[in-house]
Amino acid sequence: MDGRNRRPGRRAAVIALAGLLLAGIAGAAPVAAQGGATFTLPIIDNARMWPIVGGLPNILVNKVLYSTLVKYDPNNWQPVGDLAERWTLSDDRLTWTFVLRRNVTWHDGRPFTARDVKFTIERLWLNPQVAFFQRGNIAEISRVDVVDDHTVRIVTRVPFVTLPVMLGYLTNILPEHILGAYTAEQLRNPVEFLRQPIGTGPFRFGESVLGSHVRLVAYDRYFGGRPRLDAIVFRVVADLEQQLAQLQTGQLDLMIIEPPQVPLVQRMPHVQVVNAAQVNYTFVAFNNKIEPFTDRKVRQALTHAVDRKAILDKIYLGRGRLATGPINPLVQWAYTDRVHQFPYDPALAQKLLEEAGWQRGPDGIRRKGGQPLRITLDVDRGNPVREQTAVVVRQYWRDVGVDAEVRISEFNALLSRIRSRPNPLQTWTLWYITPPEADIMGYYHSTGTLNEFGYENPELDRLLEQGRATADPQARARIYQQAQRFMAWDAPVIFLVYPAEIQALNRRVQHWVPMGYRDALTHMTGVTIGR
Amino acid sequence: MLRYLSRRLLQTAALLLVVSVVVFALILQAPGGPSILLDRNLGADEIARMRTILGLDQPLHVQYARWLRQVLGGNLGVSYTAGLPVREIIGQMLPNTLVLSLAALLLSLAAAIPAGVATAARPYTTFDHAVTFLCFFGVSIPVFWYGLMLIVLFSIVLGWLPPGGMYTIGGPRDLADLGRHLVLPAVVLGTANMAIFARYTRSSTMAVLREDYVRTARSKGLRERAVLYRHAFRNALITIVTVVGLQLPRLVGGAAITETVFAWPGMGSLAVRAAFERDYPMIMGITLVVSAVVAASTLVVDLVYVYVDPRIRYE
Repeated sequence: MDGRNRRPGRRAAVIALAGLLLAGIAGAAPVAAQGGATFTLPIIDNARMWPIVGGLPNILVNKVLYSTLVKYDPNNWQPVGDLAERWTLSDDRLTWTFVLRRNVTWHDGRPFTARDVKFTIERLWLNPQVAFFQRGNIAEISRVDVVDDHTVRIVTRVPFVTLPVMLGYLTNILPEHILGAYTAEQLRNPVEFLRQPIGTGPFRFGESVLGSHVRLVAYDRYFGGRPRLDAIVFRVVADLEQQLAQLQTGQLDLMIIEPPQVPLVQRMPHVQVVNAAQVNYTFVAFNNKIEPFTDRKVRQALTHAVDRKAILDKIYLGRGRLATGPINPLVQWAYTDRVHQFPYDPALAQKLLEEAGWQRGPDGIRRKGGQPLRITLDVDRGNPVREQTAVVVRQYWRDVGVDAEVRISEFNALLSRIRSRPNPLQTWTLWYITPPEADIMGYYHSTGTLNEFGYENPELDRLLEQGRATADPQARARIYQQAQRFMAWDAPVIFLVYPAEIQALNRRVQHWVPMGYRDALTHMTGVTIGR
Repeated sequence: MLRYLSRRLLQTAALLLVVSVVVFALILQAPGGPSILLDRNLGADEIARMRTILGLDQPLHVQYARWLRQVLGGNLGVSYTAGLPVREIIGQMLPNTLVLSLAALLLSLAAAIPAGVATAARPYTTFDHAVTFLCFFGVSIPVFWYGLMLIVLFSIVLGWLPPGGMYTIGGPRDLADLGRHLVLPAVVLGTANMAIFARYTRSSTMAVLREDYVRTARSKGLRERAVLYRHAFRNALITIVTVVGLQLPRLVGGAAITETVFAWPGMGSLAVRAAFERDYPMIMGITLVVSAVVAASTLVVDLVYVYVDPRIRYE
């Protein structure tokens, strides 16, 4: 082979490449071409369509692919039937009877029955060999009895009146007729099922192209009627700037933005900004197990020292509401704001610190028994709201004589530190998204599995236990109002804001339900796309 | 030659083993755990149970031994996040990355070699200075910013090209569609290499142009073009082959930033996500495949030398 023989090959390659690139430019007509009525939203990684494990991409896709026994009413966030038509509670408050819809079919055409419910709860959620990520919410279930094809009885160990709410929270029902024969190992890694997942949701599996997208198409025999959209596409777009570019060019119909992006998105004429309601709150947590946070006066002082209103106005751009406690106002029946408020009052904060024995030293730093009041505030990297909050809170604390520092680390690393026992952190700022429930036992009861605050208080424990066992709605409401008053005074964490989820939504999307998109995705059948 | 080859292959196997041990030890020491354990509503019991199921409660060497046994059996494990076999995921990402990086490589060579040779022939002229300036610009420009600027210009302002992805979803998936999605990332990825290749081509061609045989060729009365390309450039090629060879691993490893900025479904963006999510089987699989290709490509480059330069022989 000499040079002359090799040349044509190389030249051909160059020409082919040039051709490809030119074809690209020439064929560059309409970028935003979308076939039919397809709703497109981003996910940050490949979704695993297996609702037993968590992760936001999975959660979002599973919302439309599968169904739950109940879902939440967009108006009052109360549980309403999804796969279940109605339910009743026995007099001993231990046995729930759920009557199921009769016209439900799986995406392969097989009928949905009570056996699917029994299988999902007993063989998947409660199976110790399969780790279900929401098990904490339903762990009180002891067994499920099939009464007939369309009736199940769910029995709990102790009275657990929040069960219907929990059965709407990330608890998708899976098909017994496919998975019933799986071994425990297959149930942990259902590779074959994931290639062709079968659900009962309004959209069935279309295709999944790794790294690119998941496409779900309307299921004609959906029990709630065929969706008006033809398809939902979840595009894998990890980069926020790329998401914004695709929103701008119309390739994405929805993305969730942070306050700093609001002005940019408001300049896009075809996009509207929606403040969507979500059951959540943001907080600055104290490690209640260690000094000085074991002292209520210190916790109250550090709360009074922070201008939360300014944080809401300047950092959240007003998109949210000042938090008064761990129960979100969307849980209307239980929420009360008639609790101890913590207005910004640095003078009071200083007074409380002095009462707690922390006196200012010559350098302005407070000391007690020679020990300086030194507090590190941990925050995860990358979220502008939380990072700014941490920096601002540090300054407020410094103003009252605290030697405060901010430490920024990767979310992954931060959460593992919070979860290590004993928790080595002093204070940190994060958020919680919770079921639309007043039952906060998991977070603040001394035995709560999610109680990362190290908070233990026998009085609150007793209230929370009562609340869980009380069926009468008015009595329950009174119990949780008392719990909120108690917590507001005791200040186990600084409750910051109930933030809105800021959705950037293409104006051609109509009938979108203004809930946080996790829940809006359970109300997709009426959504349409205009021209 | 055969003995040389088998010795190199043995060395490669040993190298892969060392790389895998080091990477395994490093990623398991990284703070934080797999992202599937990071759900805010996951209690301590469930985390413990999932760690047991994933085998993360075992000592490091036991976990490594189990992984190695799997790999020797031809199984790279199952991705924590996608829930699919790692081999399958890499198998789908690798061709996408090859398309992008080959396009970028060819693009950069097609521009860099003529530019390099031309500047070598007329060094220190205005033309040379202009190309040199462009080269420095190309090397220095931050990829994510450059990518974003191209997106703003060509996708948002002009509306000519899509900002990201590989195909129009629900579209025809033909070559024209691929080409439209390929232009911007290929240009971004090719720019830095273009600059490097042009500089190397220029300097090695200039060195060769000072050789005696080039003077001989000129004194024979050969046309300047023939002198440049048939005599000087062919001898300058050995440097270029080395430099291009060093870039080969990138063809497979993917360009993490470019792929992420353009949402290109390739190995680079896959590796970034896997690292953030502590998807151990995925990280290990990518590492193994990429280092195998690195080792293979250096071997190929060494063999190509024999062809390019008859003086080099392996015994």
